[in-house]
Amino acid sequence: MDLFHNLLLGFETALSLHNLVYAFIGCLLGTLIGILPGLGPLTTISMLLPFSFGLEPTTALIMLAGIYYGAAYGGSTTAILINLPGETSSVVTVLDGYQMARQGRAGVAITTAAVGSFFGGCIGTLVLAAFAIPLTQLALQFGPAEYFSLMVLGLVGAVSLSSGSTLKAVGMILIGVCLGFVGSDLTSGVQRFTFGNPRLWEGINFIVIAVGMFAFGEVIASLEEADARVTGTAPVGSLLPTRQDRRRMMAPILRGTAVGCALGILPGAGQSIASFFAYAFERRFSRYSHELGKGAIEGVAAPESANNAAAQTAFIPTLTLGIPGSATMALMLGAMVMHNIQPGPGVMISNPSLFWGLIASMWIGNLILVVLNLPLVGVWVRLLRIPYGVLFPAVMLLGCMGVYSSSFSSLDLLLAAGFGFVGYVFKKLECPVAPLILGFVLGPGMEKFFRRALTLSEGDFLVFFSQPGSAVLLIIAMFLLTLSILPSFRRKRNEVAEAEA
Amino acid sequence: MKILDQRSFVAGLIYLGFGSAIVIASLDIKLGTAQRMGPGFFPLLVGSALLFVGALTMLVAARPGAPTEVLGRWSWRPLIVILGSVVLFALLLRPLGLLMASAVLIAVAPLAQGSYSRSRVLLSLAVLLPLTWAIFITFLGLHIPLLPSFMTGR
Repeated sequence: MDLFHNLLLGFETALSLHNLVYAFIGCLLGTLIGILPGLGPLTTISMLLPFSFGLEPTTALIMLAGIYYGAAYGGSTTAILINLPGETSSVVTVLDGYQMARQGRAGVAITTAAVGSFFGGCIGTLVLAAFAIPLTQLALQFGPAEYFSLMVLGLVGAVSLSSGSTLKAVGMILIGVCLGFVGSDLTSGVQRFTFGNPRLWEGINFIVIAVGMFAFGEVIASLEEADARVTGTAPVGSLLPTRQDRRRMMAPILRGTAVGCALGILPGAGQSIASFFAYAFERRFSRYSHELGKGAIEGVAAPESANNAAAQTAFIPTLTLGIPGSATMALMLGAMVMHNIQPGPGVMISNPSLFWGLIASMWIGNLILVVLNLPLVGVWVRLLRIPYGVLFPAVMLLGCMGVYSSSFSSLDLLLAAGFGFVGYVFKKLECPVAPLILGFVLGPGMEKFFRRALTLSEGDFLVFFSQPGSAVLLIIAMFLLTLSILPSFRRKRNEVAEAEA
Repeated sequence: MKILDQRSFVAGLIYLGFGSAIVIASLDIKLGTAQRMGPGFFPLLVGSALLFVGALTMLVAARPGAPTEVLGRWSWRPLIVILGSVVLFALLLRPLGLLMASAVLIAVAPLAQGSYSRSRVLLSLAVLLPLTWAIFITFLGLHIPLLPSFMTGR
């Protein structure tokens, strides 16, 4: 299993015409939704998931991944031109990007963002490729107790690093796990919680929850907030950076990429935190930090490199360990399961062309994205004029079609509406919704490993602590949990969240 | 005793209720032993944990120093229109066929916003209906009847 041959296989797979076309489609869609405020990767992927069913698993994942990291590119354009972040990951780009636009340097800002994004994305992919083999080899030595504890750590990590009440997030995870119980139990085949309805024998369709909460729920929430009227956009101006610009953007791009790679791996942290940290880093370490906030090129280069690097490294725990770090990654896992691929360390072994093909296509995707984002900027700017009132009926139609086409059941559509309601209620109660889907996706696996661990240990519950690997993982989880309850940590975390708001 | 953090209190109540329901339901299912877990074992554990978390949340929300979080106003309009249009779509899809059900959805959904623009809806219909046919029926090849059942006799 050496890296070179794997990458060769990967590129061979990724460069097939079929996969190239879908990579392009994914990147294009990603850019589009990145640019359009109000439509995010989570909603889009949840809507397109059912349609990717007809594609081959590799192709489907290539497209969905393209949407994911593509959105990290597009959001910066909106941030720079309209002072509105297109994506949560581009919130920080607004600060200096828009100032640069007001100084007539919008084009330079966009180019800087694209270059930084490309560099960050490529390095992130490299890190992903480099980590893949050693991490997988490590994970393959895990026993069921370790797998269980790893999943616990993944869930705990995801909640402790995101803002808001940790306690409520844990509750949401547990609800998600319970929702996963519906249907026939994997081991014994017994029907659970199905209320005698044969439609529920296969469990609640994952698409139903995803579209219901993340598409319908989001639409309701967006409509609730007042429409941000898009006023004029700043003129784009020349795209070429000056020599001084080029010199100045190198260091922040490097720093941002490093920050992004590191933070992207952590579950729950995600791209927004990466870009915020990169900006804070620049404030601390850049020679031109006094210019930050007034149109410093560092303020665009660093966060953009960071969020794209993070977008790539976010795939590491998902692809190698089967642990999703965020709701969107949970959707990716769901996509794999839909295509009958068991996520986890085994994927690299059982499906090498899928694994390495996906990674290779990320490189290609980043290349496609630079092309899409630079010359075609003018086209995208025009898209910004589409009012949300036109978008959301299309989103709903797509969502409904998605749910219906995956099971041809009107009941599923009604259930999806129900989950939309549930999602809204939870939002009103300030309960984070993402942990619910994380719990739903990981729940069955957790039960499986829990059961196996207990069978092997002959009923001894302490096995999770007597096995060293498992013990370490659980101790880290408890540490993170305690950390998230401490007031000082919470303040820092909420600061980040407020900067996003 | 006045509850300051109403939102978390209600959330905790929901957790408590849901957790209790799971616990009660799973007691009916074969539990087995720790070594040979039955299908009811893990749900019982998780349900109990949820119950516990719910109770804890309620307590934390009711304590004197809790942050004040009032139950906000609900915006009924978007909620009812959006969910209602999905329900409508679900109910109308088979009897009326894909095109009409989609048309209803596209026409009804904008009611969620304050200003209803008939011309905008007509434009959306003109663009989205052919696109729907092109993408879902032609390109993706889904077998969904386009026309109402009374027209096709199905």
